[in-house]
Amino acid sequence: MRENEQKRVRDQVVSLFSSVLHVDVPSGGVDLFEAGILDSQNLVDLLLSIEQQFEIEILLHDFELDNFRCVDKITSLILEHQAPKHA
Amino acid sequence: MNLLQGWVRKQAESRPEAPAIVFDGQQVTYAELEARSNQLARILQSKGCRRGDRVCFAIPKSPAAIIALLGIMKADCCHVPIDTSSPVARVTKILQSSEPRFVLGVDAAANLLRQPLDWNKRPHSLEIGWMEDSSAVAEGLQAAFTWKDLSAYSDEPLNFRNTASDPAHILFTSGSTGEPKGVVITHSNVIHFIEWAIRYFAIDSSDRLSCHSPLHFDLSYFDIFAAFACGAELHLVPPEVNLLPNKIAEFIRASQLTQWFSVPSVLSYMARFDVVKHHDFPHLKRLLWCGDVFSTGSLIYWMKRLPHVSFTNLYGPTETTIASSYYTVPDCPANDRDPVPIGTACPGEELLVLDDKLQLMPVGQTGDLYIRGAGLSPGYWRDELKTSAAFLRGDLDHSQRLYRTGDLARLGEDGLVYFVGRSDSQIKCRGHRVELGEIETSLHSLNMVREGAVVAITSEVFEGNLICCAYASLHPDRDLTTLLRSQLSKLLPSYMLPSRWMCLDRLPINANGKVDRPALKQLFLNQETTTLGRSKRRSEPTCNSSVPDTTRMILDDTTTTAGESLEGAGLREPRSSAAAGRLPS
Repeated sequence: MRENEQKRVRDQVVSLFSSVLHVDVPSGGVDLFEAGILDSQNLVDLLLSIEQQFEIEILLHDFELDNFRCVDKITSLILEHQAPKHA
Repeated sequence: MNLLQGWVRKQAESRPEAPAIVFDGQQVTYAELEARSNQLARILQSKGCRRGDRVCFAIPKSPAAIIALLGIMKADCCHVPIDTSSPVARVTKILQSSEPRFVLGVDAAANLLRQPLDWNKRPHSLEIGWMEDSSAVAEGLQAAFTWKDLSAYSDEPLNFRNTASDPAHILFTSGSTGEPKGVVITHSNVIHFIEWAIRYFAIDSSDRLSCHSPLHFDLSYFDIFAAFACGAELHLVPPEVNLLPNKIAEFIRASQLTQWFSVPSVLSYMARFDVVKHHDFPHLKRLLWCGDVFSTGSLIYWMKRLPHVSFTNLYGPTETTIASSYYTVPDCPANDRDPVPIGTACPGEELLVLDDKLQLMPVGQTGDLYIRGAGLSPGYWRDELKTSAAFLRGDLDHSQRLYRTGDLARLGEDGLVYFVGRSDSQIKCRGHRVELGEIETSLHSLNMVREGAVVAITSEVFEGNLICCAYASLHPDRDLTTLLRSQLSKLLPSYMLPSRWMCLDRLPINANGKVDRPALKQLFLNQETTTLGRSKRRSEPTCNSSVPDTTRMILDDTTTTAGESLEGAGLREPRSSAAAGRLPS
């Protein structure tokens, strides 16, 4: 169940990269900063679209580069924020 | 001072152990900076570099990069910074245009340099120096020296043959025809500005200055040489710090900076996410910006937060060296619609608002902005045509050259100059100067679209410009956006990549049969509004804590109207409970 949820969220994140930032993310573990995929502008675009799509609130203390470093980490962040709702 | 490197020698003699550069936990003293750059100059000379030769360096911002630019100047050569985040195609163009005698690199730039500097293809006169001890150079790059070879050379001061009017560096900026153009800047151009700036801002050896701009951006020369002229500490801001607004604030705090100089988009980004506390950054004395228009709303946020800090707007294109005018904001503006002027000319410079016959425009009327004075570049590198088109001998006074900025401005009743807009398709995007024509040329060179056009719109969400690209695909019904973006990223630096895209059956055409750019802009503006509208609806029902904070901050700003309070402008105090979580600890 948990794995399914994780996959569902990860697929949605990958499709946000494609529909909002217009980039294909090669795999869940790719370092988005090193690959030059995320910079300060599209990070905000991504953040807003994540908040909108998943109806979550990302607070400033979540603003750690590691939380956004790869699709897998972003997926975990979203799942953490969704956790209380599904508990 | 007649040569930029002279300041480092002076500090090395008087305060050898004082820190010159602070970066990532490392400190480089003035004595080390002087010694290493002397050795680099000697090794370059011994390998055949002669006065006036160009030496490119592709080194991310670091002490090695600063040593490189000093060592190159000490070898009587002219340095050409290469943006290591640029794609290979663009770097190749810059190398071809500048015809360097040497290219200095580090491991992080090896992949970028390997193709253009392939040993079998590059001219025999071009050699490579590696500013690290590394084996990466072996693969196809074959360096004439590496960092460890420096120690074999004397670190004693050199005698220089260059004079103040010799080029110090060439900075390549976006060119409308698709070729980056090189702006030649002399030692005296920079020295003139620095000498004024350190007097005006009263910078001294107790200062800790930020070095935030990338080194291929002329603003960084203010940070570097103002610090070295005064024996102050230069704190290099690591590129990763830029990505998140709270990290930038933490950097300013932890480094106890006394001066922060960046582009408005960074300051607005920090204001948006409300990362500055009241009376934050207790050591900070000055906050400066340049390169773009800073919205008054964000300025008010900063001035309210930091009443102990002075705020100065600097203005000037690369062609007139760092900045040509300044305006220190006397009081916090009352209204977020009040424009912040670009101010008055720095001593030795003149800002002139002229008509198309090069006559002064009456006060209050918009005209073309021209600059003349000590900061004027000798012109574009090996491009007489572009040089003579932009650097004129005006009717006002034939004895002095005038630079046509392409900016529109007006002189206010208060004697201050106000920026109005651009007269061409050059834009500023997050402080970067971008020719929309260069993006269009690159787009068409891909041969993937039937038609394509690039326009910029002012974003309500992000202050400043958004680059938008509309195209008609060669293959009907096929959305090529992701592919186009990916192909463009091989030709253009990331800051020039469009962030908004539209795939259309055909582009709107005006009465003259040309692409109707105003109509296109409107299409993109509508698209932005629709996106915003969707977010907004989510926040309407209750506007309570279930609305994401970041979204709310941004949306609130879009509803600002003249005369509204700070609270209405979204620049209000963060609301209690959520606020605690938003502020960095």
